[in-house]
Amino acid sequence: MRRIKQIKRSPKSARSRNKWSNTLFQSALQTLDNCADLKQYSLMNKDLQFLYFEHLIDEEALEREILARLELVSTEQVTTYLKNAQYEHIETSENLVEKIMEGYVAVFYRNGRAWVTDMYGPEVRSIRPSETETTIVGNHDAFIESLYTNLSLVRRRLKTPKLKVLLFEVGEISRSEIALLYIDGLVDEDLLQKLVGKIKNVEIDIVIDSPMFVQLIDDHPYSFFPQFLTTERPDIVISNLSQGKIAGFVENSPVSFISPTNFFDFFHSPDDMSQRWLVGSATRLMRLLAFFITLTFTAFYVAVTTFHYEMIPQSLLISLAESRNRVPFSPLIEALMMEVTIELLREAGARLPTKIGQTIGIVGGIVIGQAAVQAGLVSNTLIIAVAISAISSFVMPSYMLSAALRIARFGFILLAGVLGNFGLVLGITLLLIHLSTLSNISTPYFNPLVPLHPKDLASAVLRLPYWQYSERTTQALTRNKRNNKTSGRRYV
Amino acid sequence: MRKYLSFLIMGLMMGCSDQHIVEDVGFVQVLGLDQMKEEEEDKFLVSAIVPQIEPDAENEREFLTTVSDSDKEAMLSLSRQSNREIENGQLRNVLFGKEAAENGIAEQIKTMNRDPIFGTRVKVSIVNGQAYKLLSEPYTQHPQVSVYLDALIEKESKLHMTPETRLHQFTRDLFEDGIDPIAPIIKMGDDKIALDGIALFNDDKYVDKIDPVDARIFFFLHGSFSAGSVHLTLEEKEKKESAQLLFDSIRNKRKVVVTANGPNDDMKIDVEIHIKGALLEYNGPLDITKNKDLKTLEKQLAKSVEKRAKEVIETLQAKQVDSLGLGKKVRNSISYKEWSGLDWQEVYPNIDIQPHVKAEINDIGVYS
Amino acid sequence: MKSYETEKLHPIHLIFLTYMLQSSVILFSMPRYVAEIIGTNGWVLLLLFGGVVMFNIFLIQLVYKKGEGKSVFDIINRSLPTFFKYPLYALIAIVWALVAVVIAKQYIFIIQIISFPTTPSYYLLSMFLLLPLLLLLHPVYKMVRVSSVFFILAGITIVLTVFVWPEFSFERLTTFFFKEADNPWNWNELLNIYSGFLGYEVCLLLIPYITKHSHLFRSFYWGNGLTTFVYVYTVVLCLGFYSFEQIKHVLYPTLHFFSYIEFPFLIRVENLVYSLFLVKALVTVTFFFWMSSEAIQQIIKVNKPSYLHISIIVMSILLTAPFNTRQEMEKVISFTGKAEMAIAFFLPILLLLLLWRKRKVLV
Repeated sequence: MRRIKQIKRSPKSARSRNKWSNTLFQSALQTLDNCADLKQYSLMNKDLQFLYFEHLIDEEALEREILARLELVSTEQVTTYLKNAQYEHIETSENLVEKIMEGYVAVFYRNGRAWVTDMYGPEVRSIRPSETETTIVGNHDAFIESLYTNLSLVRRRLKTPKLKVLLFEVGEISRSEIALLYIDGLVDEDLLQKLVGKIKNVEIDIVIDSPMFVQLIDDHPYSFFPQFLTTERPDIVISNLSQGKIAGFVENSPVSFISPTNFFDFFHSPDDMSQRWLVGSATRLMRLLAFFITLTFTAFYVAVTTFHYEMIPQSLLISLAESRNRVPFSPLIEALMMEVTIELLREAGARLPTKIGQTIGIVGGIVIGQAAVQAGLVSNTLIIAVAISAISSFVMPSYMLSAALRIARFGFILLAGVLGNFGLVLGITLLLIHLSTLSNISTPYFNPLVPLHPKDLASAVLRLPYWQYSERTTQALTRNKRNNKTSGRRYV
Repeated sequence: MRKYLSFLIMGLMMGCSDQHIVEDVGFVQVLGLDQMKEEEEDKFLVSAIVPQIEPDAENEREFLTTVSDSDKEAMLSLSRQSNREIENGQLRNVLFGKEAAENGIAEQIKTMNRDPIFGTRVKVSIVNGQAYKLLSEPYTQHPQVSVYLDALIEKESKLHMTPETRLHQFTRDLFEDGIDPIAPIIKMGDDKIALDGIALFNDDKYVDKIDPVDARIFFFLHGSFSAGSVHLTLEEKEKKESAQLLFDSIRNKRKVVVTANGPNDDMKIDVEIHIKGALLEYNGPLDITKNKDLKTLEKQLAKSVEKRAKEVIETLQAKQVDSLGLGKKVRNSISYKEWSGLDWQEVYPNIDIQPHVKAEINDIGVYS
Repeated sequence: MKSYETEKLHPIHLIFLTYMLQSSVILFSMPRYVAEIIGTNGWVLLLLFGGVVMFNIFLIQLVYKKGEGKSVFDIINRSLPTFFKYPLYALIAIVWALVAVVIAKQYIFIIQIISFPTTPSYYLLSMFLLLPLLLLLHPVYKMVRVSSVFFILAGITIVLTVFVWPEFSFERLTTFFFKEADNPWNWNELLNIYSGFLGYEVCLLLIPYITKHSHLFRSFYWGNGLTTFVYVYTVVLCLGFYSFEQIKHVLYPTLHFFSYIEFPFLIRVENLVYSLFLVKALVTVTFFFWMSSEAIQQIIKVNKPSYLHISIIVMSILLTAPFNTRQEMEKVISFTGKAEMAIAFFLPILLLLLLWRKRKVLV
């Protein structure tokens, strides 16, 4: 895989120029001491020495574009040849080592001068469908661990010179590259500066991936809700970029993050856009319903069976009481037990290879479900309630959100077990207060609802027909509101 | 986050003493109240049916009785007989014995309204006999008596054979001047329960009932609805014989016109009834496939209904019960001064109330 | 700088806020009050009350116009001497704090009657009062927005009333006006009904936080319209659902009728309804505590307002601690209601006088 470097690097602070007492080559070797994977190659007849990491570069290209061509150049003309644009003259040792670490090949001439040339091209995974965010009819390519492949996936889709990329380096040790993508003219400069400021302020040793990185720059570190939309899908990225939002990539992470994000973004899947608008709207409404179910269903069961037995309709009552009759625990303990079991099952399934994962399904579904009821450890109504809440939580297109909701659910169950419906409403109120006061780079997290933007709210909760998307959403504060030129069906 | 956590912890610190865990509660589904005899006249015989939730139990219900003069005391006494706490939150039916109903049930109704646990959807019914006896019967065909009884009354009131009298309706009509409450009345049959018509109340006291055969006519007069069927016997004057007729899928519209000009004795009430339905059975002499005969039949039908309606009204007037709510109509058509000067209870029996029936046969079925 | 911090509030937030502020637990017993005090078809008088509120909001709007958008405290601070204004601030702060805690206690009282008769009321009360404390951590524009979101929860209860319609009958409304009241035209009691409309006076303190775009006063007029409509609707519904004599005996008619609703999967919805009313009580309580703390901050400068909030809440709980039974509660409610009414009317008038005098001095 070849890396084509077209991205302009962000200016780095000029390093103080070192007076070099010994040659660059010697000092580079000294710095890279004990790096067994460092490769040294010499072209003695041309008085040239090469230093590079074999696994970081594309060896074929090295052979083809450097060694083969240098062979043709006469020894006298080597220095002239190395003035070629392909080579960059390097004067300090730090700079040199830095370049080598980034996958450059360093070329040293006898007299102590040095050049570097970009040969970056390590092995990468090929582009494959995302496993965490699957779609049925939508695009199937997803980001991979290579930053530049990811940028390419975006640029392929947005053929505009207005797509800008900023690069930053974060991580004392890992020195990971962070790329911010935005569309010039749509993005709000203040927001961009805020995000840039936050990224520049990060002080950390290593950056592992995007979901980890966004936790370093979010506004509310104590909240359990994900505050940046993280996605592996280029189609989600471009649709957000076109709303004036900013997309971020972390080197070696297949996940990009999007900012500013609002709560409702987590409910959207690209499939909604591929579907007919009525179907898409119905799906989105269903997800919102699933959101409420996953939060409150088990809790409501607990509230009703503990405090408000009068709320159960007659037809349900007797069978519920009968199955509860053998259970030795209070509904609260029973529900917590079952919820923990489901969480264990899910976590086990997530950590195990797919083949063994199926076994987990059988053990969990049949053994625990069936046997626990028969043994009289839990009531079968609860099993249904817990299962429905669990399934509803898996409906969320965002794994991050669904994990957060599953945790929040425990709080709801506890409150319901202590204070019944009053506790449940108390929990919902708390959740609403929390959600409405969250923010993402100081834009409100609960946006189209708080503050209210009726048009945005409609398009967040429903999948409106495309002619309704005549204006960009307010989340990214874009000044360029016009989305489609006409509001009629001219786009067809 | 800390503040949320502290909130949660604070919430959990307290154990709650107001828990009613569903299996620890013996939820009464039917409550029967009977007046005690002679020496204990102010006391009630309370019988309660609580569904059994132990899967191995032979009986599907727990039947509990006690003698008490207050509702709460009765509950405590019932609880002592059960392994569960006896509660009223799931009560569906309350049955009053006829004797208790004759003595007035306002106290009980008010008590039930005061306690929020009862809700307002409890069905109030009268037992023609003793509620205790009706409830103590095992009913081999319907082991779950409470469900059986509830479904029976529910179905009949949907068909407008008996009123839908819940605690709410009963209380509402009890407090209203211009209407007297009504309730379903049931009786015990042979291993079964059967509807026995409509119980008529004067204030909170049971006075009489309307037989199931007249129930439909009563409901024609009572209000607009659409359901059910009526079986009529038309008497053919010329031939001195009767024809049977079944009128089905009835839609009924009622309009009450009050003419009151001047003094009270001039007041006249016209109840206009417009019924529409399908003729499903007819064995009279008329050829119902012919338009003309159908019109004649409509007239005969109307006349027959009118006659029986008149009878029902006369019964009601004789018993001095305004179960049809005509008082409300009168009140709304006269001024406040006139109404407050009027003793409706006194005036009602002597008012000229005329039913006017218009019948319309929509179709005669799918086969002629 | 353009950002969400300074972004204006959508008028609809303010409309919902007004509704949430005005209507609170008194809605539960409103139909009974109307039947007892005004009589048949008493809802007509509620329209008049709505009109009075409109006039009161108009007074506040005048303050806004004449004062050119200056905050209330600015106006007072500039024209009143210290020995006069400090007691004034203290007085209104106490009244506002009392109103808040009384509403909270009343709500908890209802919950206790229905579901938690033996749970200690201070436990429930403190659980409830933690919510306003949380809300008060945020700046006021966020509080306004959050409050309007709660309207969704409160709205559910309005929607639920649809299921009671089949039992509604216009006949029971009667054709008489203002007859058969138990306690007719008792001014004291009438004022108690009017206290159900209170809450709109919050706009007095919102003036400095609102930009022109939000149409503060127009929104409050609309909001008051909404409240009046909901009150009238509820009262009419109850009068047509219960018989007139019956309604006088039902303590909380609006709550009681929800128990008539039945779904195949759920019955006795009143258990949910009184829980959902939490948000209504919450908004009113929060804003009254906020106003109280704003007033106190004019007397003493506070670095950490959250400590001030806690102490206001604790103090007000202590002040109302002796009043616990329904009769005692009603006395306190009626007293604080009247005090609050006086503030709602006379504070704008006082402000107008101050503004008028100042103008004269300038001329």
